[in-house]
Amino acid sequence: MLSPAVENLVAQLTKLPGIGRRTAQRLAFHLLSARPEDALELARAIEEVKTRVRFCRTCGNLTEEELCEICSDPRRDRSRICVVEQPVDVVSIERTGEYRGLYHVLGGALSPLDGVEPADLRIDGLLERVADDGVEEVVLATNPTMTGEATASYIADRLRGRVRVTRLASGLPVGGDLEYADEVTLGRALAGRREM
Amino acid sequence: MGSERAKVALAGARGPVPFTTEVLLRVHEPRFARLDGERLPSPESLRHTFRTLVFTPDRLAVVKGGPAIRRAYVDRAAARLFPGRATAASEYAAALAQRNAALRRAAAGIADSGALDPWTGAVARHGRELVETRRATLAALAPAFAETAERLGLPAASLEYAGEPPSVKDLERRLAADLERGSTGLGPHLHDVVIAAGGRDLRAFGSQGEQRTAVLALVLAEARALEERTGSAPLVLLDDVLSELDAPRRKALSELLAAGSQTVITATSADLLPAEPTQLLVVADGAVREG
Repeated sequence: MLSPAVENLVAQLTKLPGIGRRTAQRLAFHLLSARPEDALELARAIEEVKTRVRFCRTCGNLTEEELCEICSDPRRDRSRICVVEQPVDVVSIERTGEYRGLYHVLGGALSPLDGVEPADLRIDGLLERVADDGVEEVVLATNPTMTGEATASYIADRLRGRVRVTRLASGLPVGGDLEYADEVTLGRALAGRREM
Repeated sequence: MGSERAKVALAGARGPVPFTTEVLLRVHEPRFARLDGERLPSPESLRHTFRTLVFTPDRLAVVKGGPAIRRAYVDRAAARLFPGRATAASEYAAALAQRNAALRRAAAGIADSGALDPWTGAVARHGRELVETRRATLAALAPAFAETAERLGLPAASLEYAGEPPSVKDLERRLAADLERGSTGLGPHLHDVVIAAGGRDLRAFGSQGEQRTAVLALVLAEARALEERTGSAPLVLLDDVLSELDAPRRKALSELLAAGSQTVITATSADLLPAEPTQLLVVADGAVREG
């Protein structure tokens, strides 16, 4: 039906997460009817991000330099490292404005079912940083999922006795109504209740 | 028959609040359900809105069949009785699948066995939660089960969980065997529930009649446990249960039902009904009429 070039664009767009064929077709037709400079600007942006952006040598965050902005910022507290799965998690924690330490981006979570082993994550790099840098605390901020919890426990075991290791708490979303919390989250929050 | 679409619509009341609900079935399209005119995210969510319990002749497998059927039954009952722990079984299954994958990868030399540790920990942690949840479920069911079974002529009936939560130490002790098999040989995925009467395991040593009575008692016990915990009784469907019960048991059943919830009973003959029904529908010659 479609010309081979359009068909190819649709196929490439379908590879993106959350994009089905129908959405891919809509995007393709949108690009076809866009001004040439806008469409080419998108193509250039994709090319640029792939050629210029790389992983920070120290923490694994995204950067265009050797070291990321956070690692090269002298005002950051170098005694704390917050361990996350993905660069996007750094963005989330930065948004809180509560954390002034450094990060370590693992690049995923352990999952033997998907063939992800400790050697596939930046775990050795983390252990080296803890050994070298006068780090006092490692905050494990992997996701509260099966794979995130296992990754946290694997790292905690390796750091035991060498440094203070903490884990993010799980509980109720702030500002939300109890009414809308699912049973499992609410049950966990109840089990982890605190004295007041 | 041969039609492109069908609709099942119900009107009822939850306590004092009336509701309507309908499920639409269409050829080549997913089912969908409405509650009070509003479309539900999935027809499955009706299950959470209305608690229903079903006895059908094939439920006999809960007593008679293999341990997997009893485990699945207890896990479903746990999700109904303790919605906050509804994910215990699926979380354990996920941890187990990861550990088994890690075992196979370690055995094949793809990963070192240190990579197994977090999954051994996860299996132990989620295994303990699952065993606790199952035991709590059986503890909630057991008194009503014993009482109901006794009223139906099966004295000294009991439910007992057979299995201990796997500890990290236990799992590590049998690591060599697990590596060889490529799967975890210890834990709640291998446990069972012993349904017994007078100390006799009904699976192996119960008559067909006793097994049937035990399943019926389980359904009624869960209805009562749900009512006690939530304050509202579930809707119970007893499909073709009467033909196998003798007259005294049918009478006992009618008394047990009168105490509880709304019950829908199907039978081959109106004479078998244990009590005067509130509404009687007769299905004959391809038509349904009010009896």
